[in-house]
Amino acid sequence: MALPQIQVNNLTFYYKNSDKAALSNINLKFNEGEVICVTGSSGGGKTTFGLALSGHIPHTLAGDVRGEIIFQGVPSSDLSITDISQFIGLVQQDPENQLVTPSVLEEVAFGPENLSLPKKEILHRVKVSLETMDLLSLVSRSTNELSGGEKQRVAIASILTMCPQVLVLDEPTSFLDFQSYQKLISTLRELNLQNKITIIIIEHQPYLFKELIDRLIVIEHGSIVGDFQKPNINFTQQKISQEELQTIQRIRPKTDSGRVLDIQKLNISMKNRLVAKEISAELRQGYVYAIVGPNGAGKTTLLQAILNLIPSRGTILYNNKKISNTPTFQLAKKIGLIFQNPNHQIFEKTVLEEITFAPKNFGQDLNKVILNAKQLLREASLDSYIKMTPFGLSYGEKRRLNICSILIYEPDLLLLDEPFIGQDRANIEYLIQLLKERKLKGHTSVIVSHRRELYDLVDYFFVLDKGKLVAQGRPEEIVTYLRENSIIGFVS
Amino acid sequence: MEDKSKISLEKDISQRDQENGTNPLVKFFVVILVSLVLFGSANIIKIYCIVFVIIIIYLFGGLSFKVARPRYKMIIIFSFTILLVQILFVHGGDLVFHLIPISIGIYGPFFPIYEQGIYQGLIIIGRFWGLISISWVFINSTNPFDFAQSLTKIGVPYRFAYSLSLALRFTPVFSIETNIIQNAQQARGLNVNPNNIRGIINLLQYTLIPMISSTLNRIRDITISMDGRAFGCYSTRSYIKDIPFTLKDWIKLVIVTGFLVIFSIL
Repeated sequence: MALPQIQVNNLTFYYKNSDKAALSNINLKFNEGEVICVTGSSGGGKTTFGLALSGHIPHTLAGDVRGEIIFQGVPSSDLSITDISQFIGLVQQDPENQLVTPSVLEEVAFGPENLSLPKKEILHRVKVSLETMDLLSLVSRSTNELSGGEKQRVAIASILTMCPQVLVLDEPTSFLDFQSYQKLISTLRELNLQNKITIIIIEHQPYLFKELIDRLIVIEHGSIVGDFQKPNINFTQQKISQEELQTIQRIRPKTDSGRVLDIQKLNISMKNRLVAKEISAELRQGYVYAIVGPNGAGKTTLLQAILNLIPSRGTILYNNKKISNTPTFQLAKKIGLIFQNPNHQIFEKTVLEEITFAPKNFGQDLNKVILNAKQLLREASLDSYIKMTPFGLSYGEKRRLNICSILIYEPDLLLLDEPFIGQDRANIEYLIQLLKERKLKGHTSVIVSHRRELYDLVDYFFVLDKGKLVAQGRPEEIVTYLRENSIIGFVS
Repeated sequence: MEDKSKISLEKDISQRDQENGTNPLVKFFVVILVSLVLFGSANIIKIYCIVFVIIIIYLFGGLSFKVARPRYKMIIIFSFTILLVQILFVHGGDLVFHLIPISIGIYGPFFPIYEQGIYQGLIIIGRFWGLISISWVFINSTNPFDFAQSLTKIGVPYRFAYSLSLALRFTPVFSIETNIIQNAQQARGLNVNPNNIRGIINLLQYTLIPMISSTLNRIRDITISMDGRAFGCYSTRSYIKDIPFTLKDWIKLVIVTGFLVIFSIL
């Protein structure tokens, strides 16, 4: 009988200075050519498992490891990280953080250069990887200039040049628009079928890889709680139901609701390049809006321009008052913004100080604020961390803290930039509850996202492409456009 | 029919090889030489001549002057602080004037300013600006990994050369990140242009803490990314690009060195 490609025996792992097992007694076997999805809640140990599989635990990250991983019959303890890296490649969750060099070409060539391969072989590997990931047109570009989706493709290409037999991808769809996601699916299928590469995908949304995966593994609190083979995989468990999403859509805003934001002929230039062209849009009180479009369409830029975080030309009226010259810190009380990366919005020493950061800046009564803060933290299941540093929270917990930090002063207009990235079902449900409560109170929310759930969630779509507003309308009015142009994904 | 994309890849590599008009080592030696001249000379005219020449290189070299506004502000504040300290505390030469010329009874006038203080303050500022400007020219015009590759040619171990280059590589990334963090602060009501000391201290604290956290995350991810691609596994590595040290580079180095030597002697 053939040996399994990877065998995990009683693997337990504790991070340095932690008494809580990040992985607990894991036993698994992976066979050549399998496509496996690993799912589970935020902070459940999925990423740690990916790091252990790819040899970074214990070779790069310190901690207490028990048990072993055997690669084609050879225990990982007998192999160096260099040996393992040529067998199994890891594409990390945040593509931004793993790009080492300043250009696409150098990034993709980085691995083979380290292996001291001849120039001809490096060139061959680079070409094949760039072609596979459809990146040849970006070869001269600086990695700093790429969009999130492009960076993710470069990160995958740079691992493919190592010619691994197993590819581990941690949340590979996080930064991808629907078109890039479709491209990724077909690339993975090709790698699996033609090159017989085993693919392990760590993902909160396993249904996105429904047609590709053979096996679904569920990890909770560091342990395997489910291991399902096709056709016994239940994809609906991880999914937010259409019914739940539509409860927000069914709340009807007042028909005579006023204009909260009026954008007129907005132009935004960055580095001498026009990134938003003549955008005009009207947002009414009490609605939930979505701004969608491919990677690099100018969605984040538009949100930042509304808050005057970047200079723009044109007119922006908030409640019929011109705000183009109002400093951001003065607009912030009325217009809240949740940024893409939760780590960028945490400044204080404790969770309580963090949540009261904005009210302090607005000069609000601290006694009242603290009472309110404690209530919000309880609702977000963060009350046990109240005196702890917010930097020690998990990604999902940080996101909930970001939301609480905005909810505490209830801005009239809330802008959410990719709020669903890296979030599990529980966190997304928390976000949906927030949107629901805001809508009931008559507040307006704007979501920038690529998620297909938007279709059942929002009242109105704005579609941006190459800095232009190319379409807008209610979901039922715009569904054909969204589908034909592959703007957001639809369940068939 | 030939595949255009394939041609583009070959072309890109050969173009990059040719683009290395000036070897990064030449630029690096020029930075060292200019720094030596700046610190070896006490002639105020010479120092400011060098600063002027560097600014000309900036303007005509098409290099970006776009440095984040707060950083300019910091440099200007730092320069004025140095000048103030020098003119207040260095007493030598002729008395030029009093900062507060009023006398109260037998006390006053206050804060005498001497020639030597002004002269020394201006020299230190000139050196500081010269050093900052020449470093900007170097950073803006050099691919850090080309620099690392060139260093390996003169015997610097590549693991060491690359650590240096990573620091240079992430300079613009940290600048972008600082900008994002300050945007997030403004979006939660913090004035990022405070006009009092307390506000500046708060701003520094609120920027430094998330920067440190994000830097630690980045270091961890970069280490994983480099280890996962066999960085450091062999004592040498190969390169897809060639960065030769040509005759032109020697000529440039000799001309600049000669010019700086003559300039210092004069």
